[in-house]
Amino acid sequence: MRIVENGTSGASEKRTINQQQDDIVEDFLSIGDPLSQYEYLIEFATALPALDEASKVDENLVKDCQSRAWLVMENRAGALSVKADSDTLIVRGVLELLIEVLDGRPLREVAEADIYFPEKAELMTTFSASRRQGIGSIIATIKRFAQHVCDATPEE
Amino acid sequence: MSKESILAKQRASQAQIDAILNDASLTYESFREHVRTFVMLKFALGQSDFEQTDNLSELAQISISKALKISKDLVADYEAGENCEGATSSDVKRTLLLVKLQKSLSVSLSLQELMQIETLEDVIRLMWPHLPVANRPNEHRPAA
Repeated sequence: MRIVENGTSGASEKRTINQQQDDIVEDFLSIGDPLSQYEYLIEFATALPALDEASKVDENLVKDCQSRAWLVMENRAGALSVKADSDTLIVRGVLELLIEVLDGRPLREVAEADIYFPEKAELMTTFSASRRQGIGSIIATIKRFAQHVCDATPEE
Repeated sequence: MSKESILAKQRASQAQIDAILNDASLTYESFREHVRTFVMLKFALGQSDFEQTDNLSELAQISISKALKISKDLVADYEAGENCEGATSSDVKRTLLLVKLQKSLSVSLSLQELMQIETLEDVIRLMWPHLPVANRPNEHRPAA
């Protein structure tokens, strides 16, 4: 897959959000069985850099997520900078994939993106309804941040 | 572990399932060895891990600890937060393994049988009678 060796992630300028999502979907579907998919997702969990303790504050907690997930987002010259962490291994895996897809992308693209890979890649096969809802909340929080910045930024 | 290595492990573990299903003279002992090898591959364990424990939850925990490159004793701390239903990653892995084994061998354990499972030996003992080959006369059966 596309884990950069030093553990960081970054959006490729040559691949679109949907192309990266399609790559993820293809990878997970090619693996096939849920146990192996689960192992693969854990690999992404281990690749996610830990967030510093100072950032694990209520202000950065994702609402409506029963596992604790923290998002630290910034507008870097019109592009999204996102760091994240969770106290649940499997959510860390999804967070790492989200960062791979969205980090460094123009905020307008993030706001308008349809994030479909968790569902299509069957990542959430082992997730309960409440955990799936939590993943949805994480995605919505990222998109809401991007939209908020776009709304506040006058178009040139 | 890359996708390629996961796929390689899949192929190797599938070979164990194929060996079970294609052996017309399968014995309990060879079934046992195939299942153990299957679990070793799926959980990325070594023989020394099996010498530590036969408990399925602990084997799953060792598997997770190897993936995280931390001590087995720290796995629980790594997931210190509350999970939605109290299920840890080890619990999920254990459950997925049982699902995979049953599906691969076309075996369906009853709820009562599933509740008896604590060790890998329990899995082997409970699945064996469900295999067609196990119902042939004079096949070795484990002591009750």
